[in-house]
Amino acid sequence: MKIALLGNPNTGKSSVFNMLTGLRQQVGNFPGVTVDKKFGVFSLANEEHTLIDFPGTYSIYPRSKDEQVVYDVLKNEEHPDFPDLAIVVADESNLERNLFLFTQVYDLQIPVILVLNMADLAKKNGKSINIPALEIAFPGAKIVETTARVGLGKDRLIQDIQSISKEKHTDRFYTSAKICSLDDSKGQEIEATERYTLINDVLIRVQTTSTTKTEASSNKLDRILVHPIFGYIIFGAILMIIFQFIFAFAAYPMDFIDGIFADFSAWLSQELPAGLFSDLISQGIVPGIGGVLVFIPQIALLFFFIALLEESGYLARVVFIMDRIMRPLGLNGKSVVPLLSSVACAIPGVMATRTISDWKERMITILVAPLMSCSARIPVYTLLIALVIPKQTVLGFLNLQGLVLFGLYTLGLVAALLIAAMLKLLIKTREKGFLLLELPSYKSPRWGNVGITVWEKVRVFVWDAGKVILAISIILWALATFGPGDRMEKAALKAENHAKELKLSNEDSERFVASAKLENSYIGIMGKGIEPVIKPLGYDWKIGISLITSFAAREVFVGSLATIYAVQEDGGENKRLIDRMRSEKRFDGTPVYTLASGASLMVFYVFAMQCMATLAVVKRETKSWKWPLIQMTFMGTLAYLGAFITYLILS
Amino acid sequence: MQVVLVIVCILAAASYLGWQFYQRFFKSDGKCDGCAIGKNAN
Repeated sequence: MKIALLGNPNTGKSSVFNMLTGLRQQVGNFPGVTVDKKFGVFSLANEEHTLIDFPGTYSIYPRSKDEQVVYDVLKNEEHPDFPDLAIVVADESNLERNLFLFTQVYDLQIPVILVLNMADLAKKNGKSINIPALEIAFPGAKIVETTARVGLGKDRLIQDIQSISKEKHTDRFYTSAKICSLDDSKGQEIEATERYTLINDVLIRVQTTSTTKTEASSNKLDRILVHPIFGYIIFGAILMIIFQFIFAFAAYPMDFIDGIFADFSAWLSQELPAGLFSDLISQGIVPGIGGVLVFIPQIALLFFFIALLEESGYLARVVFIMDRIMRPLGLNGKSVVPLLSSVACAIPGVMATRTISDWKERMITILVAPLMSCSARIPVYTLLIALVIPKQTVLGFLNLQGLVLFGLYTLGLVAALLIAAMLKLLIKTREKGFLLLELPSYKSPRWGNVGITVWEKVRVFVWDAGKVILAISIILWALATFGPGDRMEKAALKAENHAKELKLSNEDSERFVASAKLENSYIGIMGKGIEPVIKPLGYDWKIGISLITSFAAREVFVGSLATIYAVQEDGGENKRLIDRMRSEKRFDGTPVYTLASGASLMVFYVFAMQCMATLAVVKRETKSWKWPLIQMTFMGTLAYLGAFITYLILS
Repeated sequence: MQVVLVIVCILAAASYLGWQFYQRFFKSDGKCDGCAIGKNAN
């Protein structure tokens, strides 16, 4: 049997989906989570059922591309996804609005079950429903109360799925019901008014409401947290605290992991039999992977805090207050969700733009979403901050490094908003978008969900990015180990003689020779080729090579540097990457990584479109090469100019 | 032996990167790594 899972956004539809199919999905109150149509299969009494999870929608009349799916399927009985049964999930606390969609589906005469979800919260909010009375208003439909987050009501729902008649019922709630055409906005308006009148009549009979402590305290909190002034101050303070924590707490596990990899690499160099493959492992693979894995604590901490904010219901308030900032800049309120999603990763951010109905608005949001600092930038930011920003406190309690991290995130946000405002002037839009947002009640975070979110993000970071980093580390190692003909050997010999003439110490002489060999390897020749372009930004060719490889993914930058420096030092010393970077010198003896070059690199990474996966998704979403190319060009130009100006000012 | 292993690793790494590039840019309905929301069947 084909079962359609329908409902307004934020009604716990994904929880019901998980409850029935056992599949784990993103569960939360963040609007627009369900963008794709998803399905799951489950069996009841040896009968297999396919549950199709439709995008959250307030009505069967679509206002965006993803909502269109619901209309297209339900109005067409010949559609391959036309359901045998519909399950409409409703938030029991907000039944008036939720019943609108249910009554529309009911009037299509499809067998339907109404799931009154979040029953626990409704009770806490002092709302209770007389279910037998509600069933009288909808003959033929089944109504069940659930708290799907914790699996309550599952048995009853399964019973109803098995027992409901699979034949179409003949009743209608709104007697003049017919599906209006999408152009008939007048007809839709009349239908909405009349339906709501009927729904209110029913609710008067079946619902009892009393103001509760929870609701009162939730309202009180909202008066502060979404306040036009305090709301932003509190949000800024929360972000500041998060970044302070990231630096304060992540340092210890990071040093531990870093130390393990440095020791492991040195141990491998000594213990493995001499040879090319041993070099590949100790100088290519281990430093490359270790250089990135060391950032697991920061990624985990960031997502721990984001999950806490989401679980508690605060993130929806952030969307609300950000909407206020976006409107004067001419952005669609619905752009808030994709932009905030992009803080985790631009890919779901770009995909979340499907909720924006106007394509020009959607295009602008897609173009600026990658400017929001994503988690892949964390390894780059934190490495460079630890390298060039002193560990000191400002104003007596603020960690300067945490403050700089906060500044980089803010810079990305401001750039995204300003560029969106500029694009808005260039691209005229036809319709004015709006954000329909429900503020969920505040609740204690469910630690299981927080743990799953953190685990999932760390797994994606390690596994998906790790595979690419591993492959790039191998290629980089090969390019750094081999050179054309006997060029590397000749360069090494020349450097040895030169070192003798200069009477360099043994250690300096070895470094000098290794550096000359590396410069004459394939990677050195390529790096030297691009050096004139990146020199004005304060970078040397090794940074240049890492910038190019990090086009695959930003965090590859760190892995690439780790591999290049490990090959340069022949992997022997058990130095941490940051120590290797600290001791890196130019020919004139000045350090490569200064405040100017470090800050320039950070600014570069705030703006640059260094992510193959995001470009691929933009190409897929816009169905053309034009937009990803435009995006890469304008972000690249912005990155270059921003880095150049930063270097000029600070050097 | 070590040289053979190195060649195998380099070829595998290059093929993997090439395959990833093809999957992401040229295959019409490729899976998107790193997505919070999976791209499932229609």
